[in-house]
Amino acid sequence: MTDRLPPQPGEWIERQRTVRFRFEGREYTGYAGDTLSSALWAAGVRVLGRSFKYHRPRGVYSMANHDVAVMVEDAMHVKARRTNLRGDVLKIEDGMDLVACNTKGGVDKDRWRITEKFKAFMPVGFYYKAFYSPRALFPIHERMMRKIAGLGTMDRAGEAESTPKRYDFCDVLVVGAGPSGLSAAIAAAEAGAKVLVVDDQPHIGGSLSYQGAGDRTRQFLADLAQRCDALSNLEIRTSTEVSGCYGDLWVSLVDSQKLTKLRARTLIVAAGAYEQPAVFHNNDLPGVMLATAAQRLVHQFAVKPCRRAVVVAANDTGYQAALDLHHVGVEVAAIADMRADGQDAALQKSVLDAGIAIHQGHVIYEAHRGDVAVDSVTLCALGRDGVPDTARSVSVDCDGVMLSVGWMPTNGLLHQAGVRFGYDDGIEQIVPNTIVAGVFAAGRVVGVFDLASRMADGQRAGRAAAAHLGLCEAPGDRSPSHAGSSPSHPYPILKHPHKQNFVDFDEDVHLSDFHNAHQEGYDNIELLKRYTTVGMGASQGKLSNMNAVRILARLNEKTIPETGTTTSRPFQHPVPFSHLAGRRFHPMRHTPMHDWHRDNGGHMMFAGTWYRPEYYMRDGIDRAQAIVGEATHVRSAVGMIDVSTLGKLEVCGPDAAAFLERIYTGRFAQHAVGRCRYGLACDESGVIIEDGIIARTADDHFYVTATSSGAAAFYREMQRFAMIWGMNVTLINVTGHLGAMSLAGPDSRRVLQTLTGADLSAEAFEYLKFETAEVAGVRARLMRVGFVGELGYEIHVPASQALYVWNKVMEADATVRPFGVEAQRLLRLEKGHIIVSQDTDALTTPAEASLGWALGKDKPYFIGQRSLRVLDQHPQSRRLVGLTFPDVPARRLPLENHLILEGDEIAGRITSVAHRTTLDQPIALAYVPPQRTEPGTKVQVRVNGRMIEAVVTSLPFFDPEAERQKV
Amino acid sequence: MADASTRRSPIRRQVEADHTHVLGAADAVLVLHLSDASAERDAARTLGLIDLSVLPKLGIKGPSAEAWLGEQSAPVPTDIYDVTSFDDGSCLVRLGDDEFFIEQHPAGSRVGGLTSLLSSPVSGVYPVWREDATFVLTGASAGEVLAQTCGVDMDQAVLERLIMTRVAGVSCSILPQMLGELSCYRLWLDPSFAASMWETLTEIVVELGGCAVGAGCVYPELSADS
Repeated sequence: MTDRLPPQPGEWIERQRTVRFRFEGREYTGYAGDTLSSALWAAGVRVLGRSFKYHRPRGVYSMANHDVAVMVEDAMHVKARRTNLRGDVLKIEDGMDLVACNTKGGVDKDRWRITEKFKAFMPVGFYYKAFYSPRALFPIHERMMRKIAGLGTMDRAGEAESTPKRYDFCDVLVVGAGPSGLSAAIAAAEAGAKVLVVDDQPHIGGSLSYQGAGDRTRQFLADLAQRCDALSNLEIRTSTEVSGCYGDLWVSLVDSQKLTKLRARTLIVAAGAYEQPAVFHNNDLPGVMLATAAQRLVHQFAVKPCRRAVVVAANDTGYQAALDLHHVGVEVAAIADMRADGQDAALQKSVLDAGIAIHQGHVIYEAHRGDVAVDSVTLCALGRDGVPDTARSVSVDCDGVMLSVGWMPTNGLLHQAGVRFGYDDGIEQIVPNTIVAGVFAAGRVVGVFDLASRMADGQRAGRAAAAHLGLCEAPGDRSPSHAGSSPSHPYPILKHPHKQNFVDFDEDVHLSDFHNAHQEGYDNIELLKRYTTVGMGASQGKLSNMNAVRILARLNEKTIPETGTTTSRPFQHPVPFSHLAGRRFHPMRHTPMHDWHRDNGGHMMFAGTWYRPEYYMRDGIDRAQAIVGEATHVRSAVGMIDVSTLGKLEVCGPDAAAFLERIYTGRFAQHAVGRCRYGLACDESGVIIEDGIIARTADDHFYVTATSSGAAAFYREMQRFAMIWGMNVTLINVTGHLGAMSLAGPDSRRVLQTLTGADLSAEAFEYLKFETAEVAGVRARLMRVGFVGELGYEIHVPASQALYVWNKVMEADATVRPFGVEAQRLLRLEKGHIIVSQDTDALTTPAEASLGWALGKDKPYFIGQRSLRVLDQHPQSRRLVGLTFPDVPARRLPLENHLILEGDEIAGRITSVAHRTTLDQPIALAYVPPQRTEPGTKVQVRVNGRMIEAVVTSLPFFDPEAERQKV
Repeated sequence: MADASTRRSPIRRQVEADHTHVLGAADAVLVLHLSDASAERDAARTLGLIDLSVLPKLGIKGPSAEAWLGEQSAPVPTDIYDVTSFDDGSCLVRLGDDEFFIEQHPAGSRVGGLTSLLSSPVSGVYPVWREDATFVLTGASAGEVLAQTCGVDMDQAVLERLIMTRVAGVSCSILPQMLGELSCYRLWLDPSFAASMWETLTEIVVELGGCAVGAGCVYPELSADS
């Protein structure tokens, strides 16, 4: 640790805990609390990463979470290799094994650095012009560019990381734990608000922890911390990013463990300002850094930024930075002050007393590279026109250049909260100029720079937030105005004949790129951003957007307000995918017999939100054999299927029958108690949306079944129409509260009769009868239905007792076998029964589905009736028919959704198909043109690019007289 | 363990263990403890998850529901989402102007009695089959479980007042309540989501240092060792 300083007051490192880690294959040591960058810088390492496009060496620049060229991967992470970790904020841990992202051959000898030799061929937007043609080569170009330019790579073999996601709530959210933020939080909490303070740094204090961090500022910070501790309604969360602000002040907080969705009643943004770089030749060399980065290294991590420094200043904070460096033994060779006058006299005297030379009205023209880092600079006098006079230059040897030329407010959250901004010429800064209810700002973000003023401004904002909540009187004062010279230079940007004066360090965009883009017509800030990619890198333009606006304003010869700024959108800081995904909530529904199915070989499938047994696996047979076997058993003996997923709705009340008359296309007014009836429902446009069985259990009570996937939506529609029509009905959804099973097959009556006292004889319990009876001692609803085309009974019982009844039926006779969803689909297909949403689509009318018989056409009203009458006036375009496939080999049979063609035109499609059936022939349902519905008509089906012939067949395929189900 | 009951919890298998202490009640099995009763009671003070799904329930809906309940001397809540208790400890929740929900106390019999009364039709009163799963989160960290699964600010929740919301993507009713000295959240949800919900809640509860415990933690009077 060659550049580690003696202990500094308030430092963040724990010197008693040494940390060993590896970087680029070499072992280093640091202290707990060190970041990767601080530990490496202390060890004398100057090249920490490579730039995005030209692979230029990069070192410490901001130490504020914006050093995106210093990105590393952690190969030793427990579950998956983590990537795109920013070295300036990544806390080192014992055993870390880190490598730089985006290099070939390591950060020191990155072979991709050769790209800089070709920079003349890679001006801004070159890829838009170079790679669009020929199209066939684009994937090759894309892969190549992805290798050369880019960030880390995802570990596809890594284990998915499940992180919590949580909700949180507070009265006042304060973003920023600096002097303004803490002052605001204390004021709001003292007024009685529940306050949460968040800061992305691991310690509170903000600029107090590094800017002029002397005894006075430490005492300020200690006092603020003590007052915060004393307030039980004030919570502080450090190492927490605010990644976005959404409507109604929903704010996303990201820490190392999780993403928190926080609802704040009021928001105070006191997040300070980002220090901005100057643009000059070689302004990205290792050793060139923001003055605050140097101060952070000194005060937070006790690291000497360099041995001999030049400070480039355009404000008084640069002088303070020079003094800070001087106090820890850095030789400050010179301050190049871009201002001709306006310096703080006391600071200037302190600097001169320290023996530091001041070059007033000077600027850095270029930095010179030694082996890898800066080794000298050329300072030039600034002419009146702001152009450096190279004839009046001086060369200064140094290994560090500290830039203190201006600030950009941390205003992304304010943008997202709806605040709009203007430009204050007095401080050369964007400041808020509109007010949004419940949103406040304080400190540097509104252009208040003096420490005492920032604290006072924080108090004002805190009281204003509390007043907004009705907790106190509103403060009358406004943010204090800045006194003294401007903290920011209006144009810290210098031309240079070479093209290494970078504006955007994320994307290696330099000044001439802006000139080129502007010449090509990109004179709007949003277009310029997208063409040059300025601000589109990982730091989202935190160090480049302000300079980009200044450059464009000058190119357009307009003011900054006229030029405008780009839009700030969430996320304003990258969020790990694991955090975005969070804990996966995929609630799936289980029927009461779920465990039984799994215990008995059920191959479970997703059916909407439900798990259902697709078929039951048995030794020695495959899926298709299992399905046909189950179906054959139902046809020959008796099978049972779990139909608990069916929608189960109750319609009660004096208007129940009238209500169903309107909901369904059929008739229910005269529907007899104790009888079931098929019901078909359409929407207002006459499209089929639901079907099911409706049983009348009493004069004022109907029990309605609906499709598994459509029941919830259908119930909502029923509720909506009940309210619209104002009918006296009570609707109840008991779908999940009742289990149901369907016992079907010629032996079903015999089996069920052993478990119930109800008379199941053909005479007493005829087809479509409903009865409430006990089955195995459990109160059940029995319906005699025939969806699969066999004698059958649906048994509906309370969900908690469904497994008991299921077991009792299974035990009642050894011939009862379970059958799954696929066997049921096959059996109903043989009967020609449709499944809504499989054999219908979003345009299917009853007539098209051959369900015209289900319409009560002379009814006064049902939903969709008017539309169907209109459609009746037009020729039909398609109709559902049965198809068979004589002479088609099994391997060429179609699948669902294969198209029926007439010439080159689409004439229809297959909706359901079964290759193996109990009928010893493949069958299908399909839509065909009306002129093709005559049995025996041949149609052409395209299967994998080849045509096969199918024959239209009358429906149903099986038991056309329905003798088996009515037996 | 032989189980002759006809009713069972939708997550019976997840909480079932050979050493489970159970109480046969109302033709179902109520799991009193999954392990050592004393250890469970300690755990419940920090964070416990209990399955009470087998408690009998009944819904009553219809324009005459309120009047009919009044005739049965039920303590009908005045406001929607308010909760009252029958004299046997069963709770009565008002879900709407014309809709009520009753969950029977483990030692009570109220649901059976009311169900019998409604076996014959009553004009304007419609019994509703309710088979909701009932889960109870107990202890000091129970709120954190809901903070990770639900978007309602439970710090603002009022005891014995129902909250209808979603938990882990499932529609749920949540009742903040005190059971003995334990601060609890009672969750009611569609039983078909019970297994999924139990799995999710258990994962979070265990992450937070809690565990599944038995009903004896909140109904100590039912435990044989109490």
